[in-house]
Amino acid sequence: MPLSNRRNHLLGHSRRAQMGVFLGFVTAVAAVAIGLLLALASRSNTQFAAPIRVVLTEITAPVGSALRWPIERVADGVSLVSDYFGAVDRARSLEAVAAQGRRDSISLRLLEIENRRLKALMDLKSPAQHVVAYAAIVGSSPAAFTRTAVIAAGTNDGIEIGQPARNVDGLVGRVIEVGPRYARVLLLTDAQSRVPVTLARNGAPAIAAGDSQGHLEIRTIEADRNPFRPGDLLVTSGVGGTFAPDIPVAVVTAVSSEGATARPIARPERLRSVLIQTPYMPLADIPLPPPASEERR
Amino acid sequence: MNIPWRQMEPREQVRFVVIGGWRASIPPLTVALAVLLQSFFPLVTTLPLLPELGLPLLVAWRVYQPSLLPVWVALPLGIFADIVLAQPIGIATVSWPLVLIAVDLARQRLPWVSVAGDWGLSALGILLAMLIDWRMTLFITGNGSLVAVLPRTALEILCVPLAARVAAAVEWRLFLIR
Repeated sequence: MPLSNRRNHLLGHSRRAQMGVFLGFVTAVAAVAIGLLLALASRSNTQFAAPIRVVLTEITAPVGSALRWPIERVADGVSLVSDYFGAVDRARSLEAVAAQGRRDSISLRLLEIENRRLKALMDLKSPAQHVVAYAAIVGSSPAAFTRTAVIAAGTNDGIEIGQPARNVDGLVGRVIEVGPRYARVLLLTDAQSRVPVTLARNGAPAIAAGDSQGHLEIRTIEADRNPFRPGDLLVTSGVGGTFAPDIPVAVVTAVSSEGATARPIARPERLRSVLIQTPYMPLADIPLPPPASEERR
Repeated sequence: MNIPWRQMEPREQVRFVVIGGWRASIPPLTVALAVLLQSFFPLVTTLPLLPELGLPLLVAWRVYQPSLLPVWVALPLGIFADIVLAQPIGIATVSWPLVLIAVDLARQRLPWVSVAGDWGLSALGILLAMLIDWRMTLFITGNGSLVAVLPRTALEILCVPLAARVAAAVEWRLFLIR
């Protein structure tokens, strides 16, 4: 086999060539050192490059959204065709579900009325939450360890950093970067995402952290016992003020020794648009995602 | 072309910087373009299945034509990749220069050239990048799973011959055809 044409083989005693190799080595080491310094800066503030990223997103997002259009049309066509297979069976089972849903919604409305009356009796006031925008998702992050989505709404539409994003199913994430026309939403499954949740069944508090592979790690705050069972519904607790309480977040799929694994209810890959709301309690709103982890303390 | 700098006419010096600089900037620009191309992918995916396009091209350049891509260039390229791919700065920023250094060191130990050997060398580089990315993600965000990125890494390794073709085509057009 031939040898590589590496310059080092041909160096000999040439001073200049040796100097070149040495300089290459020095610049390489310097590059790694600068990279590590930037990583350190990023650890204390993961969003420190956000201004540059916002500008780039404003430029690249229109391309992504243009590419998305034909893909969505094809997906629509496929689902139009697949709707015809097994349509009768599906219609019958859906009718059964709808009948159950009607019964449930009546009792739900009664409970709602009762709840409102009780709240009025106790003089409880909930902060009003407004819808800021209903925005289409036009892109995502193709990176390995981050899960974000780009939405087609920005400061022009009143979007601000820290506003929660949800859809009809449940919580999607929160806004972490805003440009004039586009904003970036940190999805629940991102490794940086932390959402305070409670177990809907008994109100046990927990933290839902993303694991960047489509699931959430649920860590209980109570140290002595593990309250989770497979199938449990987790809803936002309202702690921290960003997310309103009782938005569905995830369903527990597996229980582990120190917590549980859960699947988000709002599936980001099926989303086409999200609802951006004002933070639940704007005064308590912290504009940045919590800088990294709980374990570090 | 190979006149020493001090013996050049001023006009030649300008020409050397402008045209020579333009040529030298093309290989890194192809990597940046590959990163940018990847950011146009319009769908949201739960799992990171899409291979990174910039990393195989970067490693391919360094393995097949080291003189056209100095190691330090991996730093600005890594910063660019981190920004474009919406990662915290410090993931590709650290892993890309380190991977190129590792590839160089491995090449010094095993200086034989063969298609399979070079592919293996690139694969080692990409695996190392995966590990460093994972460690840096743990360092910066305190969370991150290695299992999720294994299929993507396999795809990246499969991308290497294609990336090498792209690098070879670019080099051919840049330096051999006037």
